[in-house]
Amino acid sequence: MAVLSVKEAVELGERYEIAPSQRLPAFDSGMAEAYAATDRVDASRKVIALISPGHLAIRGLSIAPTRNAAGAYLMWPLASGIVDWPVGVEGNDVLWGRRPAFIYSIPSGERLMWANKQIPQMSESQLIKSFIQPAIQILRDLILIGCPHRAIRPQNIYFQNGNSGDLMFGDCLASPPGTGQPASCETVDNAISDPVGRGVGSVADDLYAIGATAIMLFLGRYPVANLNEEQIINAKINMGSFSTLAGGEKLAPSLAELFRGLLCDKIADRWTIKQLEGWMTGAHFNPTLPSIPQRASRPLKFSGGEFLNKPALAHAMSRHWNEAIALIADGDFDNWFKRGFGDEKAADKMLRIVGLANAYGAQSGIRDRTVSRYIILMGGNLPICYKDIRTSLMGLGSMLSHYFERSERVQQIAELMNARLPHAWLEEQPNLRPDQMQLRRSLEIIDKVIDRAAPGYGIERVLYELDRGTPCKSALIADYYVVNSADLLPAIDAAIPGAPHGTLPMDRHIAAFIAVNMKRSMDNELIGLANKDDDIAYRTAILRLLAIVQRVHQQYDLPRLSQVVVEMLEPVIVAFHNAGMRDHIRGQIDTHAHGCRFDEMLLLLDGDGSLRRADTDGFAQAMLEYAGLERGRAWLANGGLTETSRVRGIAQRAAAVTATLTSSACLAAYGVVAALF
Amino acid sequence: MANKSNANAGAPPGGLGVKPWVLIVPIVLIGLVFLPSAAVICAGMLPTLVARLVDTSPGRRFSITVGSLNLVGCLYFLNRIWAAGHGISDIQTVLGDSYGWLAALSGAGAGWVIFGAMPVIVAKIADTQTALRLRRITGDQERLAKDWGEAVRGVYGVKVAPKDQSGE
Repeated sequence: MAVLSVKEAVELGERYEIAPSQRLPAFDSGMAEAYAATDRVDASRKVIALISPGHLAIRGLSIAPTRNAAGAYLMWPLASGIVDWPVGVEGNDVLWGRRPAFIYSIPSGERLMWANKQIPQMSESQLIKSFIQPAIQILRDLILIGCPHRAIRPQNIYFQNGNSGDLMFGDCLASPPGTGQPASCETVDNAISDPVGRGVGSVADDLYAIGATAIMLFLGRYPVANLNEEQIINAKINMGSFSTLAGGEKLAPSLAELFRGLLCDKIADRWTIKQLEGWMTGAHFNPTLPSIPQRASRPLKFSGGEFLNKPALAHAMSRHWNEAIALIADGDFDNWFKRGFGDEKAADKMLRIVGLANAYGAQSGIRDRTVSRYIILMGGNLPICYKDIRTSLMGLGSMLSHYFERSERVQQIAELMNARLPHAWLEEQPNLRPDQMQLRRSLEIIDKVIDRAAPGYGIERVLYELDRGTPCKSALIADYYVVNSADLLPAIDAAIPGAPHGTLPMDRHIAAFIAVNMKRSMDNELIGLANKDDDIAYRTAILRLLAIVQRVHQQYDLPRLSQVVVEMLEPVIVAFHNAGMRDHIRGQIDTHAHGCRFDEMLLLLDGDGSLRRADTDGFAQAMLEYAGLERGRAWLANGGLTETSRVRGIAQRAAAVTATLTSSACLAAYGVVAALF
Repeated sequence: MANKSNANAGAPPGGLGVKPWVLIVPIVLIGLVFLPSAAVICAGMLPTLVARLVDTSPGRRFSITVGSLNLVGCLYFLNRIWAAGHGISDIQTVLGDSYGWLAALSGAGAGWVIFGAMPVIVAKIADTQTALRLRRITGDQERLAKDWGEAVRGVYGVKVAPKDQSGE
């Protein structure tokens, strides 16, 4: 986010002011950028603001208010919320949007580890008092509010004062979970994932990070400083995390027990917080054995390396995709997989993988899907990998959200979903967490909507289904950070004046966002959006969706949106046949526009409403009447009245009648005269 | 004869519904009682007899038209025979009066003229009536089009461009 020269301060609540032009990069946290801030009530308090990225779901917005900022061991926001924020410039004007913001007190101590990777060394007692005990306390606090920290790393830990003494854990809310974590502090599966695709994770991930950080503090150095991320992951897979991070150092048995327990790569065997607390009180546990993957009888050469186990090969395949495609077509891999591990069912598994890869997805991507399914089979709990995508199941939503502007990545995620790779991954897991089981239900919905082309479905719907907190990415309101339906209409109302004339307050993103964030199914309401050629039904469907959102949130102060809706509805009004009815409806719409009553407008214009029915029926009647008149005109034009035989007949009758009447009158007159005279 | 019977049998049921002799017998009897009057009227009504012979109109309207006015013209003969005493010998005198014949023939002629002129008059009236009805239909159609839009014309809304405008 470029720093804009904006002079005015941004308010968060009534207490804090943030200066958008004063960046403080030293306090950046993961993907969140730090800016100078002031406390209006207590000017002496030094505070900073962390501004989160505007395109990702930020869990901190909902979590921050659930806990107060008391306690010295964890940086917790003094205030949080979505603030107005400069998002760009247009000519000399600053474009304003909205961003999540968190106000923190500036730590008075130094950061534990700076970019030079120098870490202070701690003795065992120091480590326990200054780091382990505070860590247990904050984990207990966070468990209560259901929020793993997921940002425990030396770079995000501060001394409470100066450069020694007790420690304080840094921000964990302003960035998506795990995004700032180095591979050294993440489990193997998280480390392989793209940083934005790591998902929320669990307290087990925090315990692992505590173990990794603790071992660095005890050693007083960054043990994997000379390795890149891929090498760190390979080392963790091949030797285990403990061995990788301990780096061959001799550790006291009690500490070795602690580190082995926390850095166990098998999540089921990793120490829990209870075990950690037990260890603190002197309890001893059976030594946790490193979960080294099964070795093959011979190494397999791939991408310049030799691989002796499946997870390591799976990781390498995920990073060298094209070579992996060539590998699986190679007979050497076939032999290695079938015979290298003494697995009698290996051949069946391979056949099944090929069969499933053929069964789901387009013909062109069979080899990619086969590679991906091999990685899932060999990797166990490694992330889902497909071409450039490496993501945990729970991180799929933020991954899609992060890369949504990059169409090739979006395409890859769509292919991944269509290939049912998440389902394949779930089937390979021995145990599922509750959040993973919940996502399984979302996947069932996604299977039904991903291939539907209509607005409200497709990849946009997948985006919001996968992560309910994802901000709406509609071009109209993307800068307004709309994460719940209550903010949708006000955001559209604010954004619409800046949009080109004629912009409709609906697009694929808004439709999908509404479909996901309303409590009931919106399939019936989305039908009208499916056929854009039927302009009347399309515009009426837009009105219906807006009316539903408005009715749910009772928002009636939307004057600009209301004006746009009136303009949008003009073709719908014109579609009424009866001119009088059109005038009546226009008058009513104007009246309802003053009160921003979309539901009342919908009652007038609804395709099944009484006015529409009356208009349709009346029009049909009028057409019949017109046709009757036209037939009458044709009859007259064809001599209906002037036809010769008809005229003659009438004339003859008229002559006879005239003569008869005249005769009668004369006879009567004669009779009278004769009688009188 | 057979055709005539058929024609009578096919006559519309809207007539008097009485047999012809029911009328003829009383008239003949009255004629016998007032023989001089009957004689001059029969003589004066000769043009009607001629009209009846040439009448091809349905319902014998030509005969009725001519006969009605011919009868009025015969009133002169009737008046004269009664004035003369209504004797058999007066018949010849009365029928010899050329004014009487003039009156009778004028009456018949007037009937003839009315019958001949009436189609022209009726045609003129029909033309006027047609124009009025067309105007009313056009007005009603325009009102419908104004109320319900041009679409209400349906298939009748297609305007055929004049040849000079269509470029042909």
